[in-house]
Amino acid sequence: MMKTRPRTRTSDVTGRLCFYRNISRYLYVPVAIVVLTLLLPALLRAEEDPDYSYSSRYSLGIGYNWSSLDGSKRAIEYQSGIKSPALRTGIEIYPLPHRFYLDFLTYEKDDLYVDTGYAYREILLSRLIMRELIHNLDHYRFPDSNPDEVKRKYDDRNIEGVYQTDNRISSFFLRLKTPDYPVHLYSRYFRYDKKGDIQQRFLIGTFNDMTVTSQGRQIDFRTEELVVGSNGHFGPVEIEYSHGEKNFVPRGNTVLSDIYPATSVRPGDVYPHNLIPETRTSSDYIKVHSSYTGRITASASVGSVRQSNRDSSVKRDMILGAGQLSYIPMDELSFFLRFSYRNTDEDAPATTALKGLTNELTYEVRPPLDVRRREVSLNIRARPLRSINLAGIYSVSKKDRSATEEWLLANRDTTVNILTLKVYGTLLKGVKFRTSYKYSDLKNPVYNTEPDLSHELKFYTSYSPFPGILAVLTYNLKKEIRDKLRFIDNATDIPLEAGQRNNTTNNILGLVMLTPGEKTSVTLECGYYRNKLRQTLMYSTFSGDGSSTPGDAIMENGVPYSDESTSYSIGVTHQINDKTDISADMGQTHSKGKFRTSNPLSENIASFSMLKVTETALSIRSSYAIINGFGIETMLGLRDYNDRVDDYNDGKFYQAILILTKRW
Amino acid sequence: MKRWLSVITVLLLGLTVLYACTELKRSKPILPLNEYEKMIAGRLDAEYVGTETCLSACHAHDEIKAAFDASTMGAQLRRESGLPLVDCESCHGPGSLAIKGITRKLVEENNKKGIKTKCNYKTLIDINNLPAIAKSLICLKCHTGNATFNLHEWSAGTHAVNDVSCSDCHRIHEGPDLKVRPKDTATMCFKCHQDIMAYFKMPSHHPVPEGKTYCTDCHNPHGSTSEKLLRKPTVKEVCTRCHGEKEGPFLYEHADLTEDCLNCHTPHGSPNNNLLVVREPFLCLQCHQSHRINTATGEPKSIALKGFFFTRCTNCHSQIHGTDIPSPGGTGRFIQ
Repeated sequence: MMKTRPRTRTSDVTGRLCFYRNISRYLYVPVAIVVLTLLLPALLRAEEDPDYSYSSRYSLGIGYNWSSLDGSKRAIEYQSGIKSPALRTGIEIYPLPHRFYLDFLTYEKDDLYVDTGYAYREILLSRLIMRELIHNLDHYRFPDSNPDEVKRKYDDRNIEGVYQTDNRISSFFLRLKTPDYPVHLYSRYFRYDKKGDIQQRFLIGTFNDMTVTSQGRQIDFRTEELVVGSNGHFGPVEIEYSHGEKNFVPRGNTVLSDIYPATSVRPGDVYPHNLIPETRTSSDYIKVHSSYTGRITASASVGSVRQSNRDSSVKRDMILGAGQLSYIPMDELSFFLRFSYRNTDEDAPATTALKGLTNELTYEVRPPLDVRRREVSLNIRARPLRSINLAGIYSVSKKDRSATEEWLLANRDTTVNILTLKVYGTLLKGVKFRTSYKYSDLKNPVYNTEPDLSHELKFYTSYSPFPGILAVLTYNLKKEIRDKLRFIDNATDIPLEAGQRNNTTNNILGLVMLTPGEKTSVTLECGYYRNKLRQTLMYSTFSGDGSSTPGDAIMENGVPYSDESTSYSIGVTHQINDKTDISADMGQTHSKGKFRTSNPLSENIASFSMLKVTETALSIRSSYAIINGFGIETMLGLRDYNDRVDDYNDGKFYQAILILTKRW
Repeated sequence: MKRWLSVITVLLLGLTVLYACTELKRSKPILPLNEYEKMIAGRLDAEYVGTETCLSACHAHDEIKAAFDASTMGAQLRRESGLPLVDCESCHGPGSLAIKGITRKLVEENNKKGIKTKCNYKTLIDINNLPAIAKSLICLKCHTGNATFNLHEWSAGTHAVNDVSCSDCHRIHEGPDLKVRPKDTATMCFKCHQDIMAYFKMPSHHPVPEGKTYCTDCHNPHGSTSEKLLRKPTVKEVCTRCHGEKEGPFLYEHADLTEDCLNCHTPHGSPNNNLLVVREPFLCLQCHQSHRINTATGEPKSIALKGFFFTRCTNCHSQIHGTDIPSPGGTGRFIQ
């Protein structure tokens, strides 16, 4: 079969240039603010004569990171695992009224952490945080043989492909305050760059000629968000206005194309698939709040968010509103009222054209599903005893949907009533506790994962009989019950209502911290998580007469599904002497998951998604102060990922870092 | 007409700002809540003695004072702002009773003997044992009046309502910068949220333990209009800050299910790949009828064929978060 090369988007180049011009227009704002940042202190310096001083601090660490990976990169999901120099710097300088700090850290290639800030008095504050990390991605494997050489095939076009992305996250914050009037101007800039190769899986063909395909795909995504706002004090209230622009710009292979065979519904041709569209979001928010030092305090915010897809011209407008009111008549009694509103209005073309190499086909598009959600909650808190707090929270939310007939949804509106009761405080000396029970009742749930009823219990207690010992126990239990599930018959689009769903989630954590002396601490931890689900599944069938006529759906009740995860860890820190510290952590997590079907037709389907993984991590760190601020730090690490279902994912990672440090 | 409207709007805005400025510069007391006012006012029979008196007895206080001088709450706060400088007694209350009977001569004599002269802390505000709201009020009495831009949703926010105070996160005496460094947030948050810490030990998790993403990337500890103190009004807006390719809007959507990513994903950690709440294909079979489970002749499908249809739905439905391209049948099956 002929394979076409993925093509890079070339259309709408002019539009893209315009788009860049648009975003560059907003870049003037931070540029202007940066210029002000530089100029303002210089202008003000003449009148300042700081009498105060604060000592500067510097630190530098230079070293090397030896690492070795044996097997799959699953063992190091967020590391490159490449040997490289390591560098660490910390600077804090205070030539008052100027203040500057820098934290810089890199332990390996494509690993970066920068946190730096400059401030001038209280007038100017700025901060830049940058991170870089590798994300090693899965390469999902297909079976070696095809189930059917004619109709059902697998095709991995890059069977040796190793997939990973390099992610860079930058955020910059700048705040300017007028010297004689407490009004702030601020700007927040966020940028996320994701570059690399990912696995793209897709289907070519339909039921009589299907090829499940996998190939590498080069991506280069950039998300930028700029928010500019002002916050000021207007007599009894504070008002904030902010405007935000967010753009998601995909580059690289933004759309793929392949030869699709002819079917009864579409002629054979080269068609595009797996398009990643450019999207743009604008937002405006106004926030108001009263002084928080009164008996009654209030805040409210109103926002408008406008999103657009530049490839398909779909638009989504959101109106958001929220309000809070707190009333504290006495120390022992408080009331908190919250309200939120969200209206989503989507606008999409009624038809869309699919442009093949030789054909152009027009398809209808369902009217968009608009949603309006309103929620109000009242929280009453009482303190009957000095050490015991009681809280009761009642909330009701309503979701209205449009076009439910077109979307084959059962209900236009869903109402959720939630009652939460909490008790927390101190029982005896050294015993703290926190417990809550939450009851949820849903009227007209739409999706099968939404329960009719839900009970949730949370319990936390800590016990410290005397300084040096702390024991913590947390237990969370959630139980969801749903009667009458709803499936849509694949062949007829007729809803089928039947079956049940019960979901129980448990989460327990025990922690003991021992501090036998000032120089030593030991932490033991054990956690257990289980998600247990039992629900009806619905399978579609052939009638069995040898034709492709659909048969009656088969229902299998009470299919059990479970995920479990158990983790143990121990951590020890010890100060050997004034110059030497050592710490060690060891942890292991066992995870397993399965489901079981018992119908003769559905037998074995659970075997394809078994989960059985053991992860082990060990790290030993030490630091030794030599003389005159010089020191040595070492870190030894081991990670072992053992997939007991698929050995392909197994990996072991060894790491040793040695750093020579100097502090001033 | 439009031009006149703009002129009138600008004039009105100008007048409002002018009025607000004038109002602010008038001297008027901040009115704290009566019940809590007593707790944070200190002993009414005590007098203010000034920070210099505190410094004269203890070198530890010198360090704290130097840190405050270098911070925006101390000497770096310009007089023109009209806001009071924060000193020892701003938070701890008037100190005359605490130093009653302590003279410079006594301090010097004790110093010679190597004895640290302690003041009577019990007469100061008992900050450690104040209710959380009162403890926060010590900070809010200034920060609510100086346009602190991130406190809009504090008062009825989850932390305030659950007795978390400012000083639980911000270390007041540990240097000029009270901000929590992002890489330290996880350690700090996990002190209370130990159950969440356990999730991050599962095989699939966001790189929080690795120090590459921070709790504050998604949550705003100072309050929020959304549940779980999310930084944005909706879950989807939080997730698509980094996962922009899944934001849309798309021509073919997964109904309003994708508005809340938590329908299929769990944010902190999961035993399942891609932070899925439930593994594929069970995840999808919860709501959708399966592909045909038998052959055209009614026999059970072979294991190989079952593997083809029941391993990972996203092998074929790879645009599950939404797409702009119709599937071969002209519907939104998220195949193309």
